[in-house]
Amino acid sequence: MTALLFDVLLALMLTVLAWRVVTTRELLQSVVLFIAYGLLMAIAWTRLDAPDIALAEAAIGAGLMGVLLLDTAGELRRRHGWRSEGGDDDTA
Amino acid sequence: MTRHDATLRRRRRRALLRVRIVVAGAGALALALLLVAAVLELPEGPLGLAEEAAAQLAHTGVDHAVTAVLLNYRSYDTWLEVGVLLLAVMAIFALRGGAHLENVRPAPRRDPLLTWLTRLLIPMLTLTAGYLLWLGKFAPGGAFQAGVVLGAAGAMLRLSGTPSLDRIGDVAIRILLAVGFLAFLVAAVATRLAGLDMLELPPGRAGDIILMVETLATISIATTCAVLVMAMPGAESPPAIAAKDVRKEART
Repeated sequence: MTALLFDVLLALMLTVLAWRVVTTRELLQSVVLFIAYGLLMAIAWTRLDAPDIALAEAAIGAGLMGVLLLDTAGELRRRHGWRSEGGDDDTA
Repeated sequence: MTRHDATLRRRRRRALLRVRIVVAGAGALALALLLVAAVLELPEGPLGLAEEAAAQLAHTGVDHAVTAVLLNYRSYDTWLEVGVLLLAVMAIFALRGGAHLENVRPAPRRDPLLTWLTRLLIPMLTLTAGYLLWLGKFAPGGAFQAGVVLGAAGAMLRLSGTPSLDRIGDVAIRILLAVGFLAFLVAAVATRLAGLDMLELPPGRAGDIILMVETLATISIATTCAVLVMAMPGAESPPAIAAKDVRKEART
Protein backbone atom coordinates (compact mmCIF):
# COMPACT_ATOMS: atom_id res chain seq x y z
CA MET A 1 0.00 0.00 0.00
CA THR A 2 2.81 2.38 0.97
CA ALA A 3 4.67 1.37 -2.20
CA LEU A 4 1.62 2.11 -4.33
CA LEU A 5 1.14 5.48 -2.66
CA PHE A 6 4.82 6.29 -3.26
CA ASP A 7 4.57 5.29 -6.92
CA VAL A 8 1.43 7.34 -7.52
CA LEU A 9 3.02 10.33 -5.80
CA LEU A 10 6.18 9.89 -7.89
CA ALA A 11 4.21 9.69 -11.14
CA LEU A 12 2.20 12.79 -10.20
CA MET A 13 5.33 14.74 -9.30
CA LEU A 14 7.01 13.71 -12.56
CA THR A 15 4.00 14.88 -14.56
CA VAL A 16 3.79 18.20 -12.72
CA LEU A 17 7.55 18.76 -13.04
CA ALA A 18 7.49 17.95 -16.78
CA TRP A 19 4.64 20.42 -17.23
CA ARG A 20 6.49 23.10 -15.25
CA VAL A 21 9.74 22.54 -17.19
CA VAL A 22 7.94 23.24 -20.46
CA THR A 23 5.75 26.12 -19.30
CA THR A 24 8.12 28.04 -17.02
CA ARG A 25 9.12 31.33 -18.64
CA GLU A 26 12.31 31.84 -16.64
CA LEU A 27 15.04 29.83 -18.41
CA LEU A 28 17.23 29.22 -15.36
CA GLN A 29 14.26 28.05 -13.32
CA SER A 30 13.32 25.69 -16.12
CA VAL A 31 16.83 24.18 -16.10
CA VAL A 32 16.77 23.65 -12.33
CA LEU A 33 13.35 21.99 -12.62
CA PHE A 34 14.74 19.77 -15.38
CA ILE A 35 17.55 18.62 -13.07
CA ALA A 36 15.01 17.82 -10.36
CA TYR A 37 12.98 15.95 -12.98
CA GLY A 38 16.07 13.89 -13.92
CA LEU A 39 16.69 12.91 -10.30
CA LEU A 40 13.06 11.89 -9.76
CA MET A 41 13.19 9.97 -13.03
CA ALA A 42 16.20 8.05 -11.66
CA ILE A 43 14.08 7.08 -8.64
CA ALA A 44 11.30 6.01 -11.00
CA TRP A 45 13.73 3.74 -12.89
CA THR A 46 14.81 2.22 -9.58
CA ARG A 47 11.16 1.53 -8.75
CA LEU A 48 10.85 -0.18 -12.14
CA ASP A 49 13.73 -2.53 -11.20
CA ALA A 50 16.11 -0.97 -13.75
CA PRO A 51 19.07 0.19 -11.63
CA ASP A 52 21.34 0.31 -14.71
CA ILE A 53 19.15 2.93 -16.34
CA ALA A 54 18.68 4.72 -13.02
CA LEU A 55 22.46 5.13 -12.71
CA ALA A 56 22.76 6.44 -16.26
CA GLU A 57 19.76 8.76 -15.80
CA ALA A 58 21.15 10.25 -12.60
CA ALA A 59 24.61 10.72 -14.10
CA ILE A 60 23.65 11.91 -17.59
CA GLY A 61 20.09 13.22 -17.28
CA ALA A 62 20.57 15.14 -14.05
CA GLY A 63 24.33 15.63 -13.83
CA LEU A 64 25.89 16.21 -17.23
CA MET A 65 22.79 17.63 -18.92
CA GLY A 66 22.36 19.93 -15.93
CA VAL A 67 25.87 21.32 -16.35
CA LEU A 68 25.44 21.78 -20.10
CA LEU A 69 22.02 23.43 -19.79
CA LEU A 70 23.13 25.71 -16.94
CA ASP A 71 26.13 26.69 -19.04
CA THR A 72 23.88 27.42 -22.02
CA ALA A 73 21.45 29.44 -19.92
CA GLY A 74 24.34 31.44 -18.48
CA GLU A 75 25.78 32.06 -21.94
CA LEU A 76 22.41 33.18 -23.32
CA ARG A 77 22.08 35.59 -20.41
CA ARG A 78 25.58 36.92 -21.07
CA ARG A 79 24.87 37.39 -24.77
CA HIS A 80 21.75 39.33 -24.05
CA GLY A 81 23.87 41.83 -22.20
CA TRP A 82 22.95 41.24 -18.56
CA ARG A 83 26.41 41.44 -17.15
CA SER A 84 25.27 41.19 -13.56
CA GLU A 85 27.21 37.97 -12.94
CA GLY A 86 30.04 35.96 -14.44
CA GLY A 87 31.19 38.89 -16.57
CA ASP A 88 34.90 39.56 -16.88
CA ASP A 89 34.65 43.25 -17.62
CA ASP A 90 33.68 44.43 -14.15
CA THR A 91 37.21 43.80 -12.93
CA ALA A 92 38.90 45.81 -15.69
CA MET B 1 -20.63 48.74 -36.93
CA THR B 2 -16.91 47.97 -37.16
CA ARG B 3 -16.77 47.68 -33.39
CA HIS B 4 -19.53 45.14 -33.51
CA ASP B 5 -17.55 43.25 -36.19
CA ALA B 6 -14.45 43.22 -34.00
CA THR B 7 -16.24 41.80 -30.96
CA LEU B 8 -17.89 39.23 -33.20
CA ARG B 9 -14.54 38.19 -34.62
CA ARG B 10 -12.99 38.02 -31.18
CA ARG B 11 -15.86 35.90 -29.94
CA ARG B 12 -15.55 33.60 -32.94
CA ARG B 13 -11.77 33.24 -32.36
CA ARG B 14 -12.37 32.41 -28.72
CA ALA B 15 -14.95 29.77 -29.64
CA LEU B 16 -12.51 28.28 -32.15
CA LEU B 17 -9.81 28.13 -29.48
CA ARG B 18 -12.21 26.39 -27.12
CA VAL B 19 -13.02 23.81 -29.81
CA ARG B 20 -9.32 23.22 -30.38
CA ILE B 21 -8.67 22.69 -26.67
CA VAL B 22 -11.58 20.27 -26.43
CA VAL B 23 -10.37 18.31 -29.50
CA ALA B 24 -6.78 18.17 -28.24
CA GLY B 25 -7.95 17.17 -24.77
CA ALA B 26 -10.15 14.41 -26.18
CA GLY B 27 -7.26 13.16 -28.30
CA ALA B 28 -4.88 13.12 -25.34
CA LEU B 29 -7.45 11.34 -23.17
CA ALA B 30 -8.08 8.71 -25.88
CA LEU B 31 -4.35 8.12 -26.24
CA ALA B 32 -3.94 7.81 -22.47
CA LEU B 33 -6.79 5.28 -22.28
CA LEU B 34 -5.29 3.34 -25.18
CA LEU B 35 -1.91 3.20 -23.42
CA VAL B 36 -3.49 2.05 -20.16
CA ALA B 37 -5.38 -0.64 -22.07
CA ALA B 38 -2.12 -1.72 -23.75
CA VAL B 39 -0.38 -2.04 -20.37
CA LEU B 40 -3.29 -4.11 -19.00
CA GLU B 41 -3.11 -6.35 -22.08
CA LEU B 42 0.57 -7.21 -21.50
CA PRO B 43 1.09 -10.94 -20.96
CA GLU B 44 2.34 -12.11 -17.57
CA GLY B 45 5.93 -13.18 -17.00
CA PRO B 46 9.14 -12.33 -18.83
CA LEU B 47 8.76 -10.93 -22.31
CA GLY B 48 10.80 -11.51 -25.43
CA LEU B 49 14.23 -13.05 -25.14
CA ALA B 50 14.74 -12.63 -21.39
CA GLU B 51 14.67 -16.37 -20.68
CA GLU B 52 17.07 -17.25 -23.49
CA ALA B 53 19.43 -14.46 -22.44
CA ALA B 54 19.44 -15.77 -18.86
CA ALA B 55 20.01 -19.35 -20.03
CA GLN B 56 23.13 -18.43 -22.04
CA LEU B 57 24.55 -16.13 -19.36
CA ALA B 58 27.25 -18.65 -18.33
CA HIS B 59 28.86 -18.39 -21.79
CA THR B 60 28.97 -14.61 -21.97
CA GLY B 61 31.95 -14.01 -19.67
CA VAL B 62 29.96 -11.78 -17.31
CA ASP B 63 27.43 -12.49 -14.56
CA HIS B 64 25.12 -9.52 -15.05
CA ALA B 65 22.42 -9.89 -17.71
CA VAL B 66 22.40 -6.20 -18.73
CA THR B 67 26.16 -6.16 -19.29
CA ALA B 68 25.86 -9.44 -21.21
CA VAL B 69 23.28 -7.87 -23.52
CA LEU B 70 25.25 -4.64 -23.95
CA LEU B 71 28.68 -6.14 -24.57
CA ASN B 72 28.10 -9.66 -25.80
CA TYR B 73 24.68 -10.38 -27.29
CA ARG B 74 24.19 -6.92 -28.79
CA SER B 75 27.69 -5.47 -28.72
CA TYR B 76 27.17 -4.20 -32.28
CA ASP B 77 24.51 -1.79 -30.92
CA THR B 78 26.86 -0.60 -28.19
CA TRP B 79 29.63 -0.13 -30.75
CA LEU B 80 27.39 2.15 -32.76
CA GLU B 81 26.35 4.02 -29.61
CA VAL B 82 30.00 4.76 -28.91
CA GLY B 83 30.24 5.81 -32.56
CA VAL B 84 27.34 8.25 -32.08
CA LEU B 85 29.20 9.87 -29.17
CA LEU B 86 32.30 10.17 -31.35
CA LEU B 87 30.23 11.73 -34.14
CA ALA B 88 28.73 14.25 -31.71
CA VAL B 89 32.17 15.39 -30.60
CA MET B 90 33.33 15.53 -34.23
CA ALA B 91 30.37 17.76 -35.03
CA ILE B 92 31.29 20.07 -32.16
CA PHE B 93 34.91 20.21 -33.32
CA ALA B 94 33.70 20.96 -36.85
CA LEU B 95 31.67 23.88 -35.48
CA ARG B 96 34.62 25.11 -33.45
CA GLY B 97 37.00 24.68 -36.39
CA GLY B 98 39.40 22.19 -34.83
CA ALA B 99 40.06 19.75 -32.02
CA HIS B 100 42.19 22.16 -30.02
CA LEU B 101 40.78 23.31 -26.74
CA GLU B 102 43.59 25.73 -25.97
CA ASN B 103 41.50 28.77 -26.83
CA VAL B 104 38.72 27.99 -24.36
CA ARG B 105 38.20 30.77 -21.92
CA PRO B 106 39.72 29.97 -18.54
CA ALA B 107 37.12 29.53 -15.84
CA PRO B 108 36.27 32.97 -14.46
CA ARG B 109 37.20 32.89 -10.81
CA ARG B 110 39.18 30.63 -8.54
CA ASP B 111 36.88 30.04 -5.64
CA PRO B 112 38.84 28.67 -2.63
CA LEU B 113 35.89 26.52 -1.56
CA LEU B 114 35.50 25.10 -5.06
CA THR B 115 39.23 24.35 -5.28
CA TRP B 116 39.10 22.56 -1.94
CA LEU B 117 36.01 20.61 -2.96
CA THR B 118 37.65 19.67 -6.26
CA ARG B 119 40.71 18.32 -4.49
CA LEU B 120 38.44 16.25 -2.28
CA LEU B 121 36.09 15.00 -4.99
CA ILE B 122 38.38 14.25 -7.94
CA PRO B 123 40.04 11.21 -6.32
CA MET B 124 36.66 9.97 -5.10
CA LEU B 125 35.09 10.38 -8.54
CA THR B 126 37.99 8.55 -10.17
CA LEU B 127 37.74 5.73 -7.65
CA THR B 128 33.95 5.53 -8.09
CA ALA B 129 34.37 5.37 -11.87
CA GLY B 130 36.82 2.48 -11.56
CA TYR B 131 34.49 0.73 -9.14
CA LEU B 132 31.48 1.15 -11.44
CA LEU B 133 33.50 -0.19 -14.36
CA TRP B 134 34.51 -3.27 -12.38
CA LEU B 135 30.98 -3.66 -10.99
CA GLY B 136 29.54 -4.05 -14.50
CA LYS B 137 30.75 -7.65 -14.56
CA PHE B 138 28.24 -8.81 -11.95
CA ALA B 139 25.97 -5.90 -10.95
CA PRO B 140 24.44 -2.69 -12.35
CA GLY B 141 27.29 -0.54 -13.61
CA GLY B 142 29.61 -0.59 -16.59
CA ALA B 143 31.32 1.57 -19.16
CA PHE B 144 28.65 4.24 -19.64
CA GLN B 145 28.05 4.93 -15.96
CA ALA B 146 31.76 4.85 -15.17
CA GLY B 147 32.54 7.07 -18.15
CA VAL B 148 30.00 9.70 -17.15
CA VAL B 149 31.26 9.79 -13.55
CA LEU B 150 34.83 10.22 -14.81
CA GLY B 151 33.57 12.84 -17.27
CA ALA B 152 31.93 14.66 -14.36
CA ALA B 153 35.38 14.79 -12.75
CA GLY B 154 36.62 16.47 -15.95
CA ALA B 155 33.73 18.93 -15.86
CA MET B 156 34.55 19.71 -12.23
CA LEU B 157 38.20 20.40 -13.09
CA ARG B 158 36.98 22.76 -15.80
CA LEU B 159 34.56 24.56 -13.45
CA SER B 160 37.26 25.08 -10.83
CA GLY B 161 39.65 26.47 -13.44
CA THR B 162 42.16 23.63 -13.11
CA PRO B 163 43.96 22.83 -16.36
CA SER B 164 43.21 19.30 -17.53
CA LEU B 165 42.20 18.00 -20.96
CA ASP B 166 42.44 21.48 -22.45
CA ARG B 167 46.21 21.41 -21.93
CA ILE B 168 47.18 17.98 -23.29
CA GLY B 169 47.09 18.88 -26.97
CA ASP B 170 44.66 17.97 -29.72
CA VAL B 171 46.38 14.76 -30.88
CA ALA B 172 46.12 13.27 -27.39
CA ILE B 173 42.48 14.33 -27.15
CA ARG B 174 41.69 12.74 -30.50
CA ILE B 175 43.30 9.49 -29.39
CA LEU B 176 41.40 9.47 -26.10
CA LEU B 177 38.14 10.15 -27.93
CA ALA B 178 38.66 7.38 -30.47
CA VAL B 179 40.04 4.46 -28.38
CA GLY B 180 36.57 3.23 -27.37
CA PHE B 181 35.38 2.99 -30.96
CA LEU B 182 38.71 1.50 -32.03
CA ALA B 183 38.51 -1.19 -29.32
CA PHE B 184 35.20 -2.39 -30.75
CA LEU B 185 36.63 -2.20 -34.27
CA VAL B 186 39.66 -4.31 -33.31
CA ALA B 187 37.40 -6.84 -31.57
CA ALA B 188 35.15 -7.01 -34.64
CA VAL B 189 38.04 -7.53 -37.08
CA ALA B 190 39.79 -10.01 -34.78
CA THR B 191 36.68 -12.16 -34.37
CA ARG B 192 36.19 -12.20 -38.16
CA LEU B 193 39.85 -13.16 -38.72
CA ALA B 194 39.47 -15.96 -36.17
CA GLY B 195 36.69 -17.39 -38.29
CA LEU B 196 33.86 -16.40 -35.95
CA ASP B 197 30.89 -14.15 -36.63
CA MET B 198 31.52 -10.44 -36.15
CA LEU B 199 31.85 -9.70 -32.41
CA GLU B 200 31.02 -13.31 -31.51
CA LEU B 201 33.15 -13.60 -28.39
CA PRO B 202 34.67 -17.04 -27.61
CA PRO B 203 33.20 -18.08 -24.21
CA GLY B 204 36.62 -18.73 -22.66
CA ARG B 205 38.01 -15.27 -23.32
CA ALA B 206 34.80 -13.24 -23.41
CA GLY B 207 35.27 -11.87 -19.89
CA ASP B 208 38.74 -10.47 -20.59
CA ILE B 209 37.75 -9.03 -23.97
CA ILE B 210 34.68 -7.36 -22.47
CA LEU B 211 36.70 -5.83 -19.62
CA MET B 212 39.29 -4.49 -22.07
CA VAL B 213 36.71 -3.03 -24.47
CA GLU B 214 34.75 -1.56 -21.56
CA THR B 215 37.84 0.07 -20.07
CA LEU B 216 38.73 1.76 -23.36
CA ALA B 217 35.09 2.73 -23.93
CA THR B 218 35.03 4.30 -20.45
CA ILE B 219 38.03 6.45 -21.34
CA SER B 220 36.39 7.63 -24.56
CA ILE B 221 33.01 8.30 -22.92
CA ALA B 222 34.66 10.24 -20.10
CA THR B 223 36.68 12.33 -22.56
CA THR B 224 33.55 12.94 -24.64
CA CYS B 225 31.60 14.21 -21.61
CA ALA B 226 34.45 16.42 -20.44
CA VAL B 227 35.05 17.82 -23.93
CA LEU B 228 31.31 18.56 -24.28
CA VAL B 229 31.52 20.77 -21.21
CA MET B 230 34.86 22.34 -22.18
CA ALA B 231 33.84 23.06 -25.76
CA MET B 232 30.49 24.66 -24.88
CA PRO B 233 29.67 27.59 -27.16
CA GLY B 234 30.04 29.85 -24.14
CA ALA B 235 33.57 28.62 -23.51
CA GLU B 236 34.69 29.42 -27.03
CA SER B 237 36.41 32.73 -27.34
CA PRO B 238 36.84 34.08 -30.88
CA PRO B 239 40.45 35.11 -31.69
CA ALA B 240 39.83 38.82 -31.14
CA ILE B 241 38.40 38.33 -27.67
CA ALA B 242 41.03 35.73 -26.85
CA ALA B 243 43.78 38.21 -27.65
CA LYS B 244 42.03 40.82 -25.49
CA ASP B 245 41.80 38.34 -22.63
CA VAL B 246 45.48 37.50 -22.89
CA ARG B 247 46.40 41.16 -22.76
CA LYS B 248 44.13 41.68 -19.79
CA GLU B 249 45.67 38.71 -18.03
CA ALA B 250 49.16 40.06 -18.67
CA ARG B 251 48.16 43.37 -17.13
CA THR B 252 46.80 41.93 -13.89
